[in-house]
Amino acid sequence: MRFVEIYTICLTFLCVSAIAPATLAQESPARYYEQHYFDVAVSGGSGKFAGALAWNHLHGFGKKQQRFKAGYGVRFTGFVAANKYYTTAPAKYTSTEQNLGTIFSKTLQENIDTITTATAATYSVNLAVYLQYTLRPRLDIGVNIDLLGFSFGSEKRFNILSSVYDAGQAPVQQASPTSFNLLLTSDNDKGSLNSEFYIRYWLTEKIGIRAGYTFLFSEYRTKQNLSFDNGRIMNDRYRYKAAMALVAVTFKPFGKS
Amino acid sequence: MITRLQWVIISSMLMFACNSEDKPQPVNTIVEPPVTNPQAGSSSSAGSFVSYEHGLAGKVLLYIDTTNVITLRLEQFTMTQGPDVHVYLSKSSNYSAANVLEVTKLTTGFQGSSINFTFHDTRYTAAHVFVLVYCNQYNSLFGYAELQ
Repeated sequence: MRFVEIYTICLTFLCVSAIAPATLAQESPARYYEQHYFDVAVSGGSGKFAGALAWNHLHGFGKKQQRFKAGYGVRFTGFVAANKYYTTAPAKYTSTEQNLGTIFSKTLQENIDTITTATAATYSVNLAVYLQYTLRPRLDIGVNIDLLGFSFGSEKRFNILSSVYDAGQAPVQQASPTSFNLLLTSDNDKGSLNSEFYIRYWLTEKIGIRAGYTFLFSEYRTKQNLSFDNGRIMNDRYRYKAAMALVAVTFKPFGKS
Repeated sequence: MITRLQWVIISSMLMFACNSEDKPQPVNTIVEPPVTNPQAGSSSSAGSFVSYEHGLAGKVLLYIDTTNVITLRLEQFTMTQGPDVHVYLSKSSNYSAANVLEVTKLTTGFQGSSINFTFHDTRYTAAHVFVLVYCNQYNSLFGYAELQ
C-alpha cells in the first residue's frame, strides 16, 4: 500500500507541474506536428486486464535537447476483471481527510464495505496529462494520468459481502460504471481513471516500445444507495484499485524520437 | 467489437466459473424421508428460496431439537452444479464470513431432491434466520431463503 501511495503522490506532482511547462513550451523550436504520439497499451495481472488506446501531444522545453516534455492527450481504457472486490469509494468514508491530505491519512477500515461481481468491465475515455524525460537518445521514462472524462459499460450484478449490510435490502444489487470521471487525488477521485509509469525504447525513429506499471481505478455505482451499519453509511460508489504490469507500442508518425 | 473482445477475455479467465453450464453435470435426484416425530420442545421454521443463479429453487425447513441438534431439510430442491458451493445458515440475506455457519458443501446438481443435513454448532443463535446457497470460489450467491 505504501508503494501505491508514493506512486499517487508522484503522479499528483507531475500532473500539476505538467500544465505550466506545456504552456511555456509553445515557444520551443520543436514543430507542433512532430510531437504527436499514438499508443496501444495492454496491462495485466491476476484475473484482470486493461487495454488502452491513446493519442497525446508533448511539448519539449529547454533550449537544445528538450529532454523534458510535457503534454496532454486523450485515452480510451477498457478494463475487465474476474471476481474482484469493489470497496467503498467516497473519501468521506474511507479517510479522515477529504483534501490533498487524503493520501497521507489513515484508512478507516471500519467504514469499508465490499461488493463483488463475477465479471467487471468498465470502459472510459479521459483527458490525460503526460510527462516524459529522455534519458538517452532512444530511451524515455515517463508518467501519465487521466484527468477527467466519462465511463460506460453494461450493468452488472454484484453480491454484497458486508457483515453490517442492513436488513430489508436485496443481497444482490445491480450496478453500472460511474459515468463521470474526475481526478481529485487518491480516494477523492471519482469514476474510472488510468495512470502509467513507464520506460520506453525507440526501435526506430517512429516506433517505440514501452514497459512499466499501470495503476487504475475502476468504479461502479449501484442503482440505489446501500445502507450499512443501521444507516450510518449510505453509499452507492464502489472502487477497485488495479495495479498491473504494462507493455505498449508507441507510434510517432511525424517526428523523431 | 468490444463485446467480442470482452467475451474472449472473460471466458479465458473464467473457464470453470460458477455459471459455466457447458458440460454434462451430475444431477442428484435423491428423496429422503421428511423429519418425523419432532421431540417435545423442539422448534421448526421454514422458507422458500429466492433464486439469483443456477436455477435454484425449492423449500427449506429447519428443526432444532431439545439438545440443539439442527436438522436442515431441503425439499423439492433444484440447482445446477457449480464449484465450491456451500449451504450456510446466516444472520443476513447476503453472504459475509462473519455472519454464516456452514451446513454442508454441495458437489452435485439437484433436481427435485429432498435432503436432510444434521449438524450441531454451538455458535448457532436465533438470529441465523437465513439459508444461503453460495459459491465461495466466485463469490456468487445462488439464492437465499428466509426462515419464518
